[in-house]
Amino acid sequence: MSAPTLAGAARVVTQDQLHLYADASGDHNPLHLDEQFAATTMFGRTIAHGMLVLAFVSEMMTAAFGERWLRAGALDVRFRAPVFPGDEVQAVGTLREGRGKVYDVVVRNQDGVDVITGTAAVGAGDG
Amino acid sequence: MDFDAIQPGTTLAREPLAISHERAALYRDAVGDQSGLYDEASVAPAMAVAALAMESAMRAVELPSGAIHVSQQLAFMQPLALDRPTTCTTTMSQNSVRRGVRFLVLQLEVAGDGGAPVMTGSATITIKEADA
Repeated sequence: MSAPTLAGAARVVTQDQLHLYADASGDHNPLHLDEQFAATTMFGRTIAHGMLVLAFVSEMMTAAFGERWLRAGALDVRFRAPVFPGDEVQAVGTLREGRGKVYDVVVRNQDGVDVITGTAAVGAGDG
Repeated sequence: MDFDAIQPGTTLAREPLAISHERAALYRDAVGDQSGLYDEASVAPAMAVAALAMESAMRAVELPSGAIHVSQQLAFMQPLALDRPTTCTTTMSQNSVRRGVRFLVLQLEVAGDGGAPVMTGSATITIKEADA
């Protein structure tokens, strides 16, 4: 039986975290790190790596399904809005009726804006 | 990079990928994921594999700084043991321009010994033609 709803921890994204993530992931795009460069973009300031914010969804799914998520998890998402340093975001999942273990997932910021939307599915795996 | 010259179906990179204990710890600190699962099983977080596959892809494509990551699909087939060697392959599956914006779809495949899949995925990236 799968939980009808899942909720990840609320997280405040910081600029320090973006630097840490850049080092860990190898993604040093100045859009995430360089205030002066970011000021020239459509966002006006640095934004979080999408894959960093998506990691909060994967963390939520790992907490719910354990190793099965690593063995048979699937994500299909759109990055809909930027996450800025200082934003607080939270991942939430809602089980779709009659669709096995497919969750509609959203990451929402403190203003109620959906920054990531999509689905997370868990197959049977072999474990 | 001359994006016009890259045909869909082109393999852009095939390179080794392994996640060390140190890299996994750095990644987990960065995302704040302190699940005990990874220590117990000595495996990498699923999204660490995805992040490093994306890094390989972005390096292969030489994306300009203004590139925007608009969507992502990922499928995880098996946990990746730390330090286990894998191969990461990046393929351009779509490359088109609409209204001054280039749309790239990159296919990612991470495979272990004997080609057993660890993770597959695709990323859609947009680039303003003025930035390319």
